[in-house]
Amino acid sequence: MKIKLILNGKKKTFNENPMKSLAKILRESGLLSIRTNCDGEGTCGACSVILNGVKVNSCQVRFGQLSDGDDIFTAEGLAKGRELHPIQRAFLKAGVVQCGHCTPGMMLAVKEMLDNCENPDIEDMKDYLSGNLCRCTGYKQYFDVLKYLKDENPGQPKTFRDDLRIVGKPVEKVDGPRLVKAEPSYVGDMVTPDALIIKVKKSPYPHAFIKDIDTSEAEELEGVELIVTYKNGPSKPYNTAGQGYPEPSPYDFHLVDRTMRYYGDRVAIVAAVSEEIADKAIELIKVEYELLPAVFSPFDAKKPGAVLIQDRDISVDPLPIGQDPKTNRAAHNAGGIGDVEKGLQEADVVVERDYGSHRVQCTPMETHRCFGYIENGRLTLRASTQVPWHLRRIIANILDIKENQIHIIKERVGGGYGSKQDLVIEDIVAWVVWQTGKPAYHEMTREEEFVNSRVRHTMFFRVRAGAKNDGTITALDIREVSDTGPYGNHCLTVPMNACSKSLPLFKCENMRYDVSTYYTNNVISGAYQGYGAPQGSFAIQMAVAELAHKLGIDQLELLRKNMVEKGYHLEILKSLGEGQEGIAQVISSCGLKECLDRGAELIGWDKPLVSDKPYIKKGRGAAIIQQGSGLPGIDSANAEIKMLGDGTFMILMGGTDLGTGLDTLAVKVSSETLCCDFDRFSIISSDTDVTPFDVGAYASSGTYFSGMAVYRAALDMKSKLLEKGAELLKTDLKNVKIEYPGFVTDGTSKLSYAEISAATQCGTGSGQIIAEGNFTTEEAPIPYGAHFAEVSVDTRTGEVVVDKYYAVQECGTPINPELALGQVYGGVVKSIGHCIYEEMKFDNKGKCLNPNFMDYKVPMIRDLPEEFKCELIEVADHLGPYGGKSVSEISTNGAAPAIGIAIYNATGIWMQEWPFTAEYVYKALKENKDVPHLYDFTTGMKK
Amino acid sequence: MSSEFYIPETVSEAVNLKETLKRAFYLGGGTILNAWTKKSAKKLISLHKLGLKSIERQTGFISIGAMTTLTELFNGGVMKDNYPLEEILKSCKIVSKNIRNMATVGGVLGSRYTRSDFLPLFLVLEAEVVSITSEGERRESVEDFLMRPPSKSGLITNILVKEDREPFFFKSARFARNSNDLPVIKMAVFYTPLGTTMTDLKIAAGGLYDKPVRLYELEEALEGKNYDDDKISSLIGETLNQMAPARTDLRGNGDFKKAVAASLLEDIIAAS
Repeated sequence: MKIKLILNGKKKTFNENPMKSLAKILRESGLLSIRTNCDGEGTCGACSVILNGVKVNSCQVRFGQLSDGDDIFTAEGLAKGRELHPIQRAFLKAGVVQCGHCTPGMMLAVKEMLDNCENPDIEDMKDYLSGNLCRCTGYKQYFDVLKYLKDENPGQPKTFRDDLRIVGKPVEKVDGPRLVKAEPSYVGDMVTPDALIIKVKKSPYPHAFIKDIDTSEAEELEGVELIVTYKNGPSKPYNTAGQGYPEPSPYDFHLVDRTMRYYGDRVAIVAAVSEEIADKAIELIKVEYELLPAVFSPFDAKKPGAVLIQDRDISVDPLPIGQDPKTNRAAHNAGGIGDVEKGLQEADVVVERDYGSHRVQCTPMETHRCFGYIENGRLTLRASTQVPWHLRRIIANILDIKENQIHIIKERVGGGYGSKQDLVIEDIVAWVVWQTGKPAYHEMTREEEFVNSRVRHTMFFRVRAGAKNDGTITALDIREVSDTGPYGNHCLTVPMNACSKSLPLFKCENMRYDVSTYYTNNVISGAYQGYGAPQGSFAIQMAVAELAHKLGIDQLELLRKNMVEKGYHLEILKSLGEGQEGIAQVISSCGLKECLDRGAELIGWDKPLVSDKPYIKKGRGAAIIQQGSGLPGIDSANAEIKMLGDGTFMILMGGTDLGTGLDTLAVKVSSETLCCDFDRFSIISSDTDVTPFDVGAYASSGTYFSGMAVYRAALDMKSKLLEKGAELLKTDLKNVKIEYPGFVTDGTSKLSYAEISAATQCGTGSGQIIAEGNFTTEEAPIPYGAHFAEVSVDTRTGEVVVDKYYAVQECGTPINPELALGQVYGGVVKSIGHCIYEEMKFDNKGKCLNPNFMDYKVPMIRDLPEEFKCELIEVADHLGPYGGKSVSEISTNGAAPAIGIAIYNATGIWMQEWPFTAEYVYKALKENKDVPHLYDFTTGMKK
Repeated sequence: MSSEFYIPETVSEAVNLKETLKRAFYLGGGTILNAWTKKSAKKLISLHKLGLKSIERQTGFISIGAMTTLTELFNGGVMKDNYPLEEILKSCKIVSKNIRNMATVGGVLGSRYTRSDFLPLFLVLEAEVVSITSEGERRESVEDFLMRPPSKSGLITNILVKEDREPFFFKSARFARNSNDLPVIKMAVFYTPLGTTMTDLKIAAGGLYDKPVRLYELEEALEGKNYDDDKISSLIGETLNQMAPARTDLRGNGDFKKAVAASLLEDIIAAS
């Protein structure tokens, strides 16, 4: 049917099927601001358009519902040519454009508000943005957008390092304009119309053997190009974790296996000319299964006689990590310092408790997407990945080709949070393209993102902690059992990180850990922001708080007495390595005391709490936290800077920007070092053909490793500029220096960078100046912080409301203060969701029951605590670029213990599992006792 | 089955289409039927050209057209000026903006969701649903409407809410996991106060059972009681415990839901 619409102010006639969604039509007509991320449920708002004056989800509007003259406005209508709209400018100033996938919808929400409210306030912001999900920012800085639009100063973020020109000062991020204008940025924006569409047939059983599979009928379907099953797929085992080679993860995964190991495992891959044909082909594939017993608990999996999930040859594994498939053990490691038993004997008080956590999903706004094609005989993959180089290496192994035959382009990533550290779909696309020679695209649905992506490990801990009456902690002992699901990606490193980011917070001489990970028939576990640290932090911080309670000492006092400080030697890190011996560290800087003091001041730690209702109990809790800055001895990063003809620069960085602002950081560090303006730099990052190697974005390595590589490249460029400048000025090298805004001078004469470039690039010159930077290290700075929560618990229902939350963190020098602050807010809000309502649920067959945003809730703008503030404090550190440390992952480590301890202080009951859903707390209150663990740690019996 | 989309120009045309076509659905705002996962809805009869958007006073009633969106309802002058039904307007505001701008009053009724922010309110208000079938116009209470199989519902044209029944007490409360969640439990209470006594009491719940229902046992137990009676809480708890088990689902087991329902009811009555 034909309908004449007004699209962004211009008449346009569409002739479409009335059943087709408006989102699809607009997207196909080139409007890339329309993003579909929630399977059409209307729960994310990423496809928002303003239809006749009101914002709607275009995925929920059928073309046939429209009428002639209907007026549609999309985010593309905001900018006038290259001139940004004030809303777009305000978004960039406020630092709310991180991954940018939600940004168009968010901007339209603000536009609708401005069109309808004379003098909008924060409540209006909450109302108008209530239908739009943002997973990165934590929403708080959206309120600054309003202030910028009113020409008011939001008062944040603070600036840092007055001695520096641009580092520590807010700027518009370098990829900001393209993101607010919805220019082609993401994988989905790059797909060509001739691309095959890939779909995957999924296992309806948690554990089964395929006796036979018949694809003949499906293959006869016109438009089906390729079907891959265990019969014709590659036989090489590999691991999907994007980790440094040799990986500390087993090779236990196949592209398509004959054994199905979880509900949703890959049965067959179909590539066809359209989605409809691919779906139809999947229906036509006939499979005969032999059902196998399934285990869903690591405690059941470790029992003698349990069905084996990965009965395989471990000689293919790159590293020994304590794997023993004959007992379903995927990994094991143990170690420590001192003598824990002696420490416990010396203690006046001992706490022994079990703790546990449930599965949560990363839920990036942009589901996993990958587009591949052949170019000049080589495989090109445009991927939304955190690990382009690991991806290239693993794909080369699967396809049995050389790395020089593969080109990986990391597009802008619409949220990763760890889930895109794995090859979740890229192996599928690579295989299809390589086999067919045709372009192919795969995009996960939201349901697939829940089931087939990676989830946070379920972990169970038994903690023993001892302390003397004076508060000295004498022993910390942690035994951990983790559930990796059916495959062992990250099966050692995530569980180890639970210990390596929680034990080293304390100056305790006797510490021990014992980590075991088991295969189960649950969904696949993997990396998620924090990488095990949130689970470990919960267990250790709760136990230490209970020690304080038993000793009658204020929690903060106990923390102050025992927490580490600058200069402390962290011997424990020597044993807490990543599949190999770790490196002991001396703490290069530590802001724990300042964070704790500031947080206590903000929340009014010593002030009495008053409830006006007898059934509402109030309490406060706190937690100290840490993370790392990359993996010393394992990670490496590289960068280049090329001087262009007019004295500007092109940065080529291996580092991967996930929306966190790493590209902007690289430009700022270069701009600061080379004494010239920000706009004289352009950057290309994460393209395996163009930029040098970097391990990728994980382990909080970006600022430190990638940043230092760029810093060293900038220093190399500076050195070359000085050398060339001295030569051209005919003076000695020691007489010259560089000077803002881009000169080499000897004090009397000066040469602009453009003049130096002209002299070097001309026919008589010495050639283009190209600088290099590489960074590897054996030491890394540790970021620290303290989080504080105040809760109200409704003792009638168990409902926990986080009334106040304060997060005070240090990341050395915050190089991008507004973006760094946004990452703290984002991490905190995500983790509050994890604490209160986020939880994947499964039936007794391992089928996920809530693989969507209707049933799995994530925080929205109206869910922020009533009082909510994150602050960055400055700490001087000498290791990173201009003193920078990592900032993002650490933010997820504080909420669970801070809120859990607050619930104890409100109700007198220690929480042992999270999330603290109302039903869980209700049960604890009803039984008036500490709720036992889901599983008894010793017997493995389900409670 | 191939997909079919129909755009009737009149109510009778729409009704005839529904009678003629097998397994066709009336399409209102689209927040439910147009969700991509609802692939079973292959035949749609769109109602967008039928009008059905007016909010107007009729004798003794406010009539709300079935195609009125929740945003239009919230902004509707008649509702705001002539009938103090703040609870309905408050519930409109609970729904996220994108959904509020699309979802219609008719869709709210037609969905029959137990976890509804609106149906318990309409139940205690004893609102009426007007619908058209091939046999003509039907006017029935929301309660009767909810008892009817969806296939026999007819085309909802409007809902009628009684006007001006002061003095009255009308309030609702919800419990949800987060701000954009449908309520786990929604409770609504309407009564006529005589001093501190609750008379002509009506209580309804969403989420407790498979469909939103009036809780007659509770109404009977609390009818004529003083809202500030110390024993109200225990009476609510005891009565709920004697009632049929509440449904257990992803959002909690039946005991927990009853505890939530009790607390919401206590809070509502405490606000008297």
